[in-house]
Amino acid sequence: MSATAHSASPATAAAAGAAPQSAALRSFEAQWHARRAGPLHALRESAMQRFVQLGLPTMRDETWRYTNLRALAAHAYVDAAGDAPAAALQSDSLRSPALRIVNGVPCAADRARLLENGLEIMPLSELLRGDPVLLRGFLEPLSDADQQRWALLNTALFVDGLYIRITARLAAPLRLVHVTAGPGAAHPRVIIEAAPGSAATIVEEHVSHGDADSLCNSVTQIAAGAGAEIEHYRIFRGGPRAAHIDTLDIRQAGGSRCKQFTICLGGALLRTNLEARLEAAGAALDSYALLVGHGSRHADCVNIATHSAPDTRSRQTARIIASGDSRVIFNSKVIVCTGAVRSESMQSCRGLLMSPAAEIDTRPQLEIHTDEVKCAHGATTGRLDPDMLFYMLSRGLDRRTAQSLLVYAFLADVMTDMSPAAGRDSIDSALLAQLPESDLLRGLR
Amino acid sequence: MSSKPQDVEALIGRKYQHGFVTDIESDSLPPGLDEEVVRAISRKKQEPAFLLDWRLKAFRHWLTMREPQWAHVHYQRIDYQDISYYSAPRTPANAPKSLEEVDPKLLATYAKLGIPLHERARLAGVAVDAVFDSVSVATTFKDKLAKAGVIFCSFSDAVHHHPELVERYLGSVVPAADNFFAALNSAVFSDGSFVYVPAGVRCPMELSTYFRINAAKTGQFERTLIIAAEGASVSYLEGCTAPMRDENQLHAAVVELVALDDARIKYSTVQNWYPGDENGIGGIFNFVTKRGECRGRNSKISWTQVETGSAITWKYPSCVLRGDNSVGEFYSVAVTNNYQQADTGTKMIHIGRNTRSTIVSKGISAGHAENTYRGQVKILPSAEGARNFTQCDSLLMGAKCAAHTFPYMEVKNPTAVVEHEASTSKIGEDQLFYCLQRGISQEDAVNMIVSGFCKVVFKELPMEFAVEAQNLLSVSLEGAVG
Repeated sequence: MSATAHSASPATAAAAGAAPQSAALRSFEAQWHARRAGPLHALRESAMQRFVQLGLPTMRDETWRYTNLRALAAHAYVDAAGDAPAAALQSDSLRSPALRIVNGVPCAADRARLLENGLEIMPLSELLRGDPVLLRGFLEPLSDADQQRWALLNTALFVDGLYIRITARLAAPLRLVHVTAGPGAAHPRVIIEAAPGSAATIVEEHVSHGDADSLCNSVTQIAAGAGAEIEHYRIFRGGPRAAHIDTLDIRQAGGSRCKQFTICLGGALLRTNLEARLEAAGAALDSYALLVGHGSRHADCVNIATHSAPDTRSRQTARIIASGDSRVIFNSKVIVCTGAVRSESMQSCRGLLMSPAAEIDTRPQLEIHTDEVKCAHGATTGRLDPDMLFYMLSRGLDRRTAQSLLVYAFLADVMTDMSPAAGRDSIDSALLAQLPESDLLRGLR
Repeated sequence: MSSKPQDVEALIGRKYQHGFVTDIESDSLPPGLDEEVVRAISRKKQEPAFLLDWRLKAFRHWLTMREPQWAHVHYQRIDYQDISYYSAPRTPANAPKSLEEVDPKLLATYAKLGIPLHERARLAGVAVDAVFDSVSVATTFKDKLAKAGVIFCSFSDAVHHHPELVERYLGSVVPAADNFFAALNSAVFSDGSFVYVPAGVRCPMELSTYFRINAAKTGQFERTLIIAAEGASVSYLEGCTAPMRDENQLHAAVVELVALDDARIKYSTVQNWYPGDENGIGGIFNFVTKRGECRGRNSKISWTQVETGSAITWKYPSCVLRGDNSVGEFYSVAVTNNYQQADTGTKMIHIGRNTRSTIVSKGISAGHAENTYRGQVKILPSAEGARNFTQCDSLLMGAKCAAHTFPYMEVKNPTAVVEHEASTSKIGEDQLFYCLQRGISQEDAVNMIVSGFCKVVFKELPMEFAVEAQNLLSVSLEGAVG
C-alpha cells in the first residue's frame, strides 16, 4: 500500500468535537498521519481512534489520580524512531551479551549472537510476514480499561518490535536493553511467548540516551503456557528528563509460574502498569516492586492481578523509598472473579519516607466476587524505626551508617528473591548509588 | 440468640418488619426543583436572609456539578425533577409543646417500631428529638438539658432561636459546594437536629434522634449540626427505619460535627432503612455526607456505625484532625444482603501535630450484594508525629456476593506512621462444624460467628444500641446461609 494521508480518518473526526487537544495528543496524531499504511492498518487505526477518543489520562481518571501529565501533555513529541545515533549503541550501560532495541527497533547484529536452542527471536516485521494471525492475536486491543490506553497508542505507532518464543528451559538469562535515544517519543513493543513446560529469565532494561526530553511508551506482553516458568525483570534507568510509560501484560495458563520484578531507579516521570491474568488452575504470580524515589522523581506503579480461574495464587510485594522531593505511588489490586474459588492472594507494601518533602501514596485494593478465597493485604508507611536505629547506635555505629544499613536491609525482602544470574549484583550496585551514604554501604558489602 | 430450632425457610420468607406507611396528611411541595422551590422551602420555614442566600448559592453551584460516578455502585439515574423536596406532617395549628399534643397516629407509628417514645425516653433516660419526615414533632427532656446549658433542638428552631450559632458553624465543616449530594442538601434541606454543648459541660444524657422517611416520593434532606465547645462532651445516637415502598427514595443528609479544644463528640448510627426486596426492587438510596472537624487541641471525634439497610449506601463519615493531639475514630459494621450495595468507609485528614486516628471496618456480604470499603488516610506535611491504624475485614457468605477494599494512603510527613491491614474470607467450615457438632443450629452458629466478627465495633456502641445492633444483624442476614 502506498503512503496515504489519514486526514479523513475516523480518528480525527472523533476528536473534532472533543475538548481542545493537548500538544502531545496532536503530536501523536501527527506521528500517526506520517506512518505508512501497512497490512495492520485497520487494526492500528482502530487503536488510534480509541486512544484519541479516550484522550490523555487526567487526575480525574481513578488510576491516574496521583499522576499529573500536564507537563507531558504540553510537550509536542516528534517520532524518535529511525534516527538512532551511533553513540546510543555504544552506551556503557550495555553489557554483552544483550539484545539492544533502539527507539523500538531491534538491533539485527545482536540477534544473531543470542540465538540458542529453544529460543526464537525475530522482529515483529518478520513475524508479520511469517505468521500474521499470531501477531494479530497479540495486537488486538488489550482492554478498554483506562490504564491500557497507552498500550493502544503503542499498537498504533510502534515501528517495529521483538517477538521471542521460548520452547525449552533456558539456562542463561536473556537480556534486552531498550535505548530511548534523543528527543522524541519511542514505542517499543516486545512479545514473549513461553511454550508449555519452558523456562526462562528475561531482563528488560530501559535506559535513555542524551539529555533531551524523551518519552518512551513501551509495551511488553508475556504469554506463559501450561507449566511454564518465567522470571521477568523490568528495570527503569532513564535519564533525569526522561518520561516513561510502560505497560506489561501477562497471561498465565494452568500451572504456570511467573516471577516479576519492577525496579525503578531512574527517570523523571515513570508510570508502570502490570496487568496479570491467572487464567487457569494452578497459575501463580509473584510480583515485586522496588521503587526508589530520588531527587524530584515521580514514580507511579500500578499492579493488577486478576484471578479468573480456581486454585490460583498471587503475591505482590512492594518496597518504596522516597527521598528529596520525590513522590512514589504504589497501586496494587487483586481481582477475584466469580467462580475463581480457592484463590489466594497476598499484598504487602511498605514505604519509607526519608525526607520532609517526599510523598508516598499507596492503594492496596481488593475486589472479590466469590466467597471461598483467602485474600489479605498489609501496607505501612513511615520512617526508620527509632528502636532499630537506637540498637545500631548502641553497638557503636554512627548515625549515618546505621541509617544506611537499615535502609538497605529494608529493601532486602525484594533483593533476596532475585536470582543471581539475572544480574542481582548490578541491580544492587545501581540501587546503592541512589541511597544516601552509598559509599559507606558499598564499603560494608 | 434463641436456642430453639428455627425454620430457615420461614425466616428467609420473612418480610421487612418495619415496612408500613402511616396515613397522615402531609403538606408537600409538588415534585421538581428550581430556584423557586428553594425559596419556597426557605419561606415556609420563615428563615432569615443569610440562610436563603446560602441555600441559593448552594443551589446555583449544584447546577454546575455532575453526579459522582466513582463509587462502586450501580443504580438507575435519579430524576431530580421527580422528587418532592418538602413534606411536613400537618399538625393541629401550632407545633406540639408536649407529648400529649403529638398526633396519636405518630405515636402509634413509633410503637409499631418498638420504640414507644415516652416509655423509651423515660426508661432509658434518653432525650428524643424524633424527626418524622422533615419537621420535628416532639422533643423531650428539654428542661434537663436546658439546666445544663445544652441546646438540643430541631434545626429550624435553632435557626430561629440561635441564628448566630447557625450562621457561624453551618457549612464550616461541609461547605455548601463540597460534593454533589452535599450541595443538593444545602439547597433544599428541610430540617434536622442541632446540638450545642457549651464550654466545660458534659452532656447529662445520651442524645438521640429517630429518623423516618414517610410520605411517598419525598426525598429526605436532613441537616445535623453538633458543636462541642471547649472541654465539652456529648454522645449522639442516630437510628433509622423506613416504611416499605417499591420506588427508590433518595436520602441525602449532611452531618457536621465541630469539636473545639479538649471537646469530645461520639456519634453512633444504626441504619436500617428499607433495603429493597429479595430481587433488589425498591429500597432507599442513602447518599450521606458526614464529617467532623477536631478544630481544637486534644479534641476527639468518634464515629460508630452499623449499616444494615438501604438499597445503596454511599457514606464516608470523616474526621479532619486540625487541632494538635486530636483523635479521630471510625468503627463500622456494614452488612449487605440480597441485591444491596454499600460503598462506605471514612476519611482521616491529619493536619495537626501528633494527631491519631483508628479505623476498624467490618464488611459482611451475602446473597448478590456488593460491599465496598473505601477509606482515605491523608497525612499533610504539617502533621508531625501523626499515627494511623486501619483494619478492614470482609466476610463473604455465598458465591455470588462481592467484597471490595479500596484504601487510599497519602503520606507527606516522614515522621508519620500509617498502617493498614485487610483480609477477606468466608466463614470457616471448621468454625461452623464445631458449632453444629455441639448442637447449635446452622442459623445460630452463623449469627454467633458473625457477632464475634463484629464484636470489636459493637463494643464501641452505647448500651442501648448494642442490643439493637446485634438483633438487626441477625435479621439482616436471615437466610444468607442455608
